[in-house]
Amino acid sequence: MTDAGYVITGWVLTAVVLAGYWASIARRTRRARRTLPTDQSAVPPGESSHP
Amino acid sequence: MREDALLNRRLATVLGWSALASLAVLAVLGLWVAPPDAVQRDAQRLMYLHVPAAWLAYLAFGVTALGSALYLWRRTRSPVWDRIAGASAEIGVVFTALTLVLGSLWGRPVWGIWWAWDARLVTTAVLFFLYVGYLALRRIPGPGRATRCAIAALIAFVDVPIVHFSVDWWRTLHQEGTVFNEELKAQIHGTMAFTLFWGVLAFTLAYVYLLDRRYRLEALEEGREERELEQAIAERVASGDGDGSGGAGALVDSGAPR
Amino acid sequence: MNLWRETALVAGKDLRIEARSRVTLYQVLPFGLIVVLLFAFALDPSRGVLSRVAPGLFWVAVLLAALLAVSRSFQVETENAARDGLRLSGLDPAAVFLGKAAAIAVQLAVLEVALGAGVALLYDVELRSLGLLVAAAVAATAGVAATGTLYGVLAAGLRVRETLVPLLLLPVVAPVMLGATRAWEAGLGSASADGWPWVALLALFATLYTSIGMLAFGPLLEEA
Repeated sequence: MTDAGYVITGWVLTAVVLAGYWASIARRTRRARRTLPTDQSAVPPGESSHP
Repeated sequence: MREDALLNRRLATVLGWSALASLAVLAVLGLWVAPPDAVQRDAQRLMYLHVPAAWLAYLAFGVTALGSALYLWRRTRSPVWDRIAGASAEIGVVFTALTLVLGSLWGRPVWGIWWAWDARLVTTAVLFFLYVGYLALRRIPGPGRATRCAIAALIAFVDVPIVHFSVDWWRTLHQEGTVFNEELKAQIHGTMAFTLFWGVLAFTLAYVYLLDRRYRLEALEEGREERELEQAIAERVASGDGDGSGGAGALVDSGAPR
Repeated sequence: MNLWRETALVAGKDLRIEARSRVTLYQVLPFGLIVVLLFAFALDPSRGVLSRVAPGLFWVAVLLAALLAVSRSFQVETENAARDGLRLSGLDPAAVFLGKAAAIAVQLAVLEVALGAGVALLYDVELRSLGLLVAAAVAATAGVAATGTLYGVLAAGLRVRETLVPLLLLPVVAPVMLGATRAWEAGLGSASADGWPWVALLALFATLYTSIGMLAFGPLLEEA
């Protein structure tokens, strides 16, 4: 791999990891919000929680 | 229901966009504006990611340790600190892994090696495992979780300088000072220095933004366990009222040895 | 009762349990010896590699055996609500910590003598600077025992204790591994003066983690 190859790999990897991690937080937050009780009736818990 | 967070919504959004913008600027600076290094040529450009990532890996750990300490100290005890500690740890492990990978990607073209046994790299690798242990502990629910995790974080935190010092001493005794080590200490000026500084700034903005978001998630998830427990208890009580045999379910001894 | 009497009480209890059950003697020690043997399968004895890396292999074997010793030390507390007994006994938690750590250290010391003999015989090394070797071993063992006891109580009530403690303990005792191996290299070789600074590092580590353990054991025992 040329020098440029390593550089591009590193920058793309960083972008993917940061974006992916942000998306992971967003997804988990959406799921957690869905199980919030609305008014007084508790919404039944969603799919079983994370392992 | 107002959610618990570190920053208010508007500030968090502004911060998020600022972080994104500054990272984009970093890409322009790092990949285009900054000149190639005299010795390392274009491979140098990975430094603008690796160093900020390393800075964050350690900053995040410091925040986890600080949060843990403040949680343990009676006068400042609050679930807020526990959540900050936990949130920062997850972000930290991501950045530590990134630091290690970027370090290898940088080291290979420049020095021909994927890895070197110097104090910085080894300490970062140990840091990664300390994080992993902390996060494993964090996944175990229960009332004592915050205290357990806080103490574990502090035990690990004091270990980091000891690891660094001992490896450093070990390598200097062996006189393993290779070109690798010398070049890392080389001075950089001008556009390159500015880009590096910008990188640290951009990553720090991203960290604070992610910390806030991860904190919110932590607060939501905490509440969720309690809510699910209440829900399950309510259901059990409801089913137990009409069912004389007791809803606890026959606890058959599976016979499995301990 | 003062701290030392209470410590002796707890250490005595753990050692008496060991004396009757002989788990360390009949299970952990053979395990350590097997590890020493396995290293010989992994590395080639005929090319002198083993004797060169003998210090490192010895300390890896000790560390792995220590994991079992720590696990055993807290296993005995899970039966018959023994942990509750410890909590309610009125003993100073710092003394309980020191007592359990001391018992582990004694068992590790026995292990080290046996494994050390095994290594000397099987890997063909000569124990030259005995003073250095012993000093390093004492300091390293104290550090491992203290840290192991700390993580042991932290994970005491948890179901995943068996897999969690190794993950938590091993990274933290990495400096002990480093220092003990370097000190033993010096002690088995010719440059024994190089070993003593490492002994100082090991002693520092042991002191630090013993102090942390004395402070943290109480709160952790409450939560266990």
